[in-house]
Amino acid sequence: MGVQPNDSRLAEAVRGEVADWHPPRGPDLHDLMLRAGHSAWRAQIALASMIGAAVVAVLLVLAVATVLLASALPGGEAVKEHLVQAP
Amino acid sequence: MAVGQNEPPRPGELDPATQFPVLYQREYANVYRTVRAIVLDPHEAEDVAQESFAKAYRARLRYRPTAPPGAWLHRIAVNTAISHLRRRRLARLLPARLYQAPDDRDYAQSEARGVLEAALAQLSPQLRATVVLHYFHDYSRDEIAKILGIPSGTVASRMAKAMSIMRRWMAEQEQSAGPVRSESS
Repeated sequence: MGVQPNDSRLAEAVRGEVADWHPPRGPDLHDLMLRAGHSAWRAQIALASMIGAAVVAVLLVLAVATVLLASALPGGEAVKEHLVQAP
Repeated sequence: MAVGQNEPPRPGELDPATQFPVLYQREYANVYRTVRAIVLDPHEAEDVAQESFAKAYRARLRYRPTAPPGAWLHRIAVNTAISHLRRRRLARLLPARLYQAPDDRDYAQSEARGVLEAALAQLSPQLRATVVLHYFHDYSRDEIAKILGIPSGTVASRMAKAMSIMRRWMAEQEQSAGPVRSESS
């Protein structure tokens, strides 16, 4: 068997080898934030989506309420007939 | 309430909760080197290092200054790297990966460049982590024990075992290379 390097030589070799390891690309904060799920746009998109869905829901309710109200008002018989009329 | 929850970071140390980008820039190369010692492949190491920082970022508000931020990062990085290797080993069991060597050390050797890196490839990931944390990052036995979540005595035995394996392997390599050198001298 060959001569084994002593610990201090081996430790020195480890330090030298590891010191030569450099990241191929280096730190990328933008990529990090994406990986961490921290997107500057995510909260805004979620908020806009919720607002849009809420607006649609409100409009839908208003439309239904308008139709029901219109049919209940005096002169609303035409609306009722239109609603129940078979196509 | 957790111990040290309201303690500020030690003087000179960055606070991960409020200074994470600076901490990231400062510690990136160090964490990369630790991860690379474990996974051995430089491109995988960079991906795993980035994942480690992502985990650290998500956990930054839970950081307690019972350990320096660097040690905290290394703990996350070591766990992430070892998990990565487990998943990679599992992936080789899939039919699509039949041509990859089943043993992790064979795979690591195929990627190793240089004698020292090949010597490191002889070690298990846990031993490699111990070696780089002590011999490159200069962490003490107790600090390494906290990073790896093992007793201090286990750290000492791992260091001794790692150095023994590496010494023996390098001596064997030197012996097998001996006749070539003697011809050239």
